[in-house]
Order: sequence, then structure tokens, then C-alpha cells
Amino acid sequence: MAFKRIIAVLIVLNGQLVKSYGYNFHRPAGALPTALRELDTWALDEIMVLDISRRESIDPLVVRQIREACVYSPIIYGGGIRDISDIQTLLSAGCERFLLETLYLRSPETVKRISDLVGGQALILSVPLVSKVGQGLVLRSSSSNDSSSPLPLNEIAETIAASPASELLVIDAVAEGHGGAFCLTSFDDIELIEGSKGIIWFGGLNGDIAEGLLTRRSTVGVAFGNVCSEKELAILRVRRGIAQAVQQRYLRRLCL
Amino acid sequence: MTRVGILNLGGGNIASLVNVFDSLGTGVIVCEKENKFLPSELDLIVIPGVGSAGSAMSCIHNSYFNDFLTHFNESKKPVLGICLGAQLFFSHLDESDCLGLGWIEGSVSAIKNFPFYNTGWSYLDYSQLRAANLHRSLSRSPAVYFNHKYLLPSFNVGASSQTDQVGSIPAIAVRENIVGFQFHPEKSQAQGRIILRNLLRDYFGL
Repeated sequence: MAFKRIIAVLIVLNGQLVKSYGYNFHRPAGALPTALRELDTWALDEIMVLDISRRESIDPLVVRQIREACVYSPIIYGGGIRDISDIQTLLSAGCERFLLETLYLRSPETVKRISDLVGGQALILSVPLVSKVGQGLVLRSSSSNDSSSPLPLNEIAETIAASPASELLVIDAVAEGHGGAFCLTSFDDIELIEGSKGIIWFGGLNGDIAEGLLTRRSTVGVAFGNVCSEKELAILRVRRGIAQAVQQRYLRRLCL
Repeated sequence: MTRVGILNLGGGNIASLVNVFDSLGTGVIVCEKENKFLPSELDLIVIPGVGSAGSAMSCIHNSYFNDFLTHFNESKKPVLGICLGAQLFFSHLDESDCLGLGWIEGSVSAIKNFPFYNTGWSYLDYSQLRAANLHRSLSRSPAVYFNHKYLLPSFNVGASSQTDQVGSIPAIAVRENIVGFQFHPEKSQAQGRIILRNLLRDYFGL
């Protein structure tokens, strides 16, 4: 089947491309359309635009910027998707895969309707995790207004497995922005969601950690955020290092 | 100028297809269910694909698309199907347990012995591309992007990767004026655009 993927994540806050550190501290990182075109030229496997503004709807400014970039790489969009009309707006901008955050927990029936429209292969569920003493891995709340107790992973594992989405974006929400700090696979709980769907790992990865993750059967991809907005071609150097380390086993050769 | 019509079945990424055909210098028209087009107005029809087989066939049957496609095929005019669009060419679609267009015999079934969707990049077989006259200017291992769970039952060009657990997978099915791509050329970067250009120029002669 297909090679595993290196995915570039462009993080957007209030319409602005940023570098993010634990979702709490952010620094401007240039223009989104420029970053999209550069990553398209460098031929990454997929590009994810992740809006962390915690909006109740998708940001029309971000949608317009994606449309204007007009890239020929697969684009995943995440952030603020609430219903089918959002999906149709994003399709018209050139996105074909969609990251669903709280929607799959709040309204599984809406996810089913979206899946009937675009297919399960177009849907990815966001699973941002933190570890809590005595509870193991729990879902990190995506809303600053959400004061309810965080959901343990073992309580949502069935919901995740039953969803029509094809893949999961599993995020180490504490390590995000801190390269080398990823540690989710050291928790036994993680096995609750491995196997039901393909997993894309994100949050605090570096080359060494990514090499190890690529060997896991459940892994279909690894995602990098801030490094995409660092020095030019930094993400390509990371990719080249990983490919050499795994002897080109899991990744396609780039044709640049 | 070549006139390309893209059928809007409701769930596909039409924008990317419009962009890529526009970049190849063709005229592009998005055919909506509500606005009827005549076959004589178009040189090539593209059936895009995302969504479920059942809803796509329902959309075709409940609109002028059905007669339109029948006329196009019977007059041997070029038709390109992409992903789900390619699967619709066949006689039966297991995903929704419904009939396809029936232009090519075969049943589109799910990938066996593999728990996930086939999402990502694989290399097309260059020698098979050459046999289909789609190889010009491509690298010797052209990688293209797939995102599907169901397989074309017959094919002319296969694709593979070094991680292969199920062997070569169907990538391109060809029968005279009908060409089906299981992968997404509009999302396969430079190699995808070259394959589309070869299809228009070398295979269809447009």
C-alpha cells in the first residue's frame, strides 16, 4: 500500500501564520499563502492548515488564503468545522481532507452526514492528549470555556473506533512546540486507539522520535509544525535525515 | 482550446481540478446538475470522486448527467474518471451495493487484508505507463497520491511502494475512450500534472 507520510502543519491563529509552543505561546511566522506555496514546491506528502483560534466557525480569511495559494499538494484543514456547509466551503477552496476536533464527540450524526458527502477517507479525528496523574491519558479540552472534567482516553476509544473517519491525528498537547519532548507512546493507554484507524503523530517530534514512530504498524504519518516555519528547507532536511535513518523504507523518494 | 467539463456530484474537490486543468491551458467548465450542457459543447468529461458510490450514482441517475454520460461514451468521446469517478465505470459497486455505469465489467470491492485506507503516495509502474502511452517526461518512478478503500477490479497500470503488504494496486484502467485514475493527479504535484498533460495530448490527442 501507500508509503507513510511526512506532513507539514501550518498553525494559524486569528488569520496569522504562527509558531506555537504548547498552544499557549505564539510567534508570527510569515504569510500563510507563501508558506503553502513553498511547501507545495518542496513536495511534502501532505500539508495541514490547523487553525487554533478556537473559533465557533471556520475563518473566511484563512479559507481565502488557502484558495489564493492554489497548490497541487493534498491539503488537510482543521479548526472550527461544525457542519456540512463548512466542508463545502473548504472543498471550494481546494481542501480535500478535514480534521474534526470536538465535533465527533458532540455530534457523531453530523460526522456521519459529512462522511456520506465526502467519504471516510476525507476525515481525520483530532485526539489531543495530556497525561493526568491517576487517570492516564485524557483528552485535552479545545475550548477555554470548557470547565468539564477531561475525558479519559478509555472512555472515548469506542467513539473513535465507531467513527467513519479514516485516520487519527494524535497530539502530544504538552510537548507541542518543543521538539524532542513527545512521549505519548510511553503510555500503555495509547494501545486503546492503535489498530482501529491509521495514526498521524504530532506534537514535539524530532527526527529520532519520528524514525521510531514510523516503524509502528498503526503509524500512517508523522507531522511537524514549527520546523516548517523555521529556516528555509528545514523540514526537508528533517525528512532527508529520517529517510536515511530508515533506509528509505517507509517514505517515498522526493522528486525535486 | 480543449473544453473540459467537470461534473459536480456534490462532494468532490472541484477547485483543485479546475486549477490543474486551467494550468494546462484548457478551457474548464463545471457542470452543475441544474445547468444542462450538451455533449457537443465539451471535448472531455471528468468525473471526480469523493464521497460514497451510492450517492454519486444517485446524483447521476437523478439528473441529466445520466443521458449526458451515455451519449459521451457511445460517441467514443473522452471520459476521465478520478478515484470514485473511475470506480463508477464498472458494473457493480460493493461499497453501496449498487450498480455502476457498467461500461467496464467488474465489481469494485474493498481492499482485503489491510485494516486502513490506502492514503498516501505510491510509485506507478513505468513500463505499464509506457504501454498506455502516458509516460512522456515522467520520472522512472513517478509517485502519485492515493486516498481510497475500494479497488478497481481490472487495470492497465499498477502502483506499489516498498512497504507493500498487498502487492501492486490498481492505479489506471483504460478502455478506448475511457480512462480511470484511482489516484488524484490534481494532488500529485508535478508528476500528476505531467500525467494529465500526457493524457490530454498523447492518449486522447486533444
